[in-house]
Amino acid sequence: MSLDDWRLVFISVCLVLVVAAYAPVTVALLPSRDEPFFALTILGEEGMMEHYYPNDDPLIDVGEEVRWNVYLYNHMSETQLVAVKAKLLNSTVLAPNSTSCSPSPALVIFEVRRMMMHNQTWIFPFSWSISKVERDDDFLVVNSFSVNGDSIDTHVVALNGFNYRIILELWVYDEELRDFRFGWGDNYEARCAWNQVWFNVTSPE
Amino acid sequence: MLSRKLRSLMAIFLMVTSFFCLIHVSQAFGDGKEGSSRVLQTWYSIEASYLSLLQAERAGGDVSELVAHLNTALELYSEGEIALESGEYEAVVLITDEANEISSEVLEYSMSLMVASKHFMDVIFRNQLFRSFSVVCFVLLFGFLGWKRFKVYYIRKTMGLIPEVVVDES
Repeated sequence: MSLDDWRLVFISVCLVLVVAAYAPVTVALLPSRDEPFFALTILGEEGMMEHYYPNDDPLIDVGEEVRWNVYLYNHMSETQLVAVKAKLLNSTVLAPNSTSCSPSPALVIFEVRRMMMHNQTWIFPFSWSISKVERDDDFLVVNSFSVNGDSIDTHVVALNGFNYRIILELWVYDEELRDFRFGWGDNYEARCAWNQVWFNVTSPE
Repeated sequence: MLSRKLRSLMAIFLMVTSFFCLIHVSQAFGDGKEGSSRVLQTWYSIEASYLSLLQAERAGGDVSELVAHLNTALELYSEGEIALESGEYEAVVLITDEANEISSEVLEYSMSLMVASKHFMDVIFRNQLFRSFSVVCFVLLFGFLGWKRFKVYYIRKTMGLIPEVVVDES
């Protein structure tokens, strides 16, 4: 190797060492490139993605308790204040729109708020039952619904009690709005998380 | 005559009962109003504590304990809402007082944590910057000196080489 080649080697080694020396400072100044996200999942009684109904039968009787668990994971790089809102719908009421991140217009039957740190998982029980049902010709009306022991008056109608669904929406506290909003991210990259489980209700005798 | 007396007695009775009913209703209405404003106040208190906690976390502070405390306040807030719906105003007062106390503590602590963390992070950053600068100076100085020595060594070695014997075939 000639002297010029050795000079090049020396300069390269020095440059690499200088860059390595400033790496910790640069890393501290650079923003995190991790994609922020939340995960929301409805789990069955045993905390698995199975056995959502008693005896695996989606036909739910009045007063029959259905036990679920709700799984929530925060990967937003910082502590977040979140609210999980549960809604009871039939098949005709609009579900949340994942593209525009607009929530379902249905009535909120249950809401829970929680503060979650980055990388934190939170699983909470979600037990529900139908307290009161009425028949109106071919339709079935759910008049009262109970979640985690709290009862709420509803009026959700479905043809012969088929195709009811429970929707869980994840609302995140927005610092600028000073309120919760459905989803997270800005207008260009809005993201939202919601989940639904369908069931049928037995008609009263 | 008797019916006239009975009628006036009835009227007095109705007036007295309506008076007591009015007092009861206005009291209940007042309690309800106070209860809902207490619950709302608790929410604002939790909200302010959360925003302060967020600033402390962004400044580099460890907020795990504060998050746990504020979650307790959030649970109490939910209990307060339920108590308000069921008209248990005394319970609302007790619950919201406790929640307010917790969130005020969190607010106070997170503010001081933010200041301390900011200062601590500044010190860490300055130390890191100084360390990096020292390493760079060391690299440049010893690189330059090392190169000088190597150059001398290389030239001496090259000059001291015995030229190879070339076979002239011509």
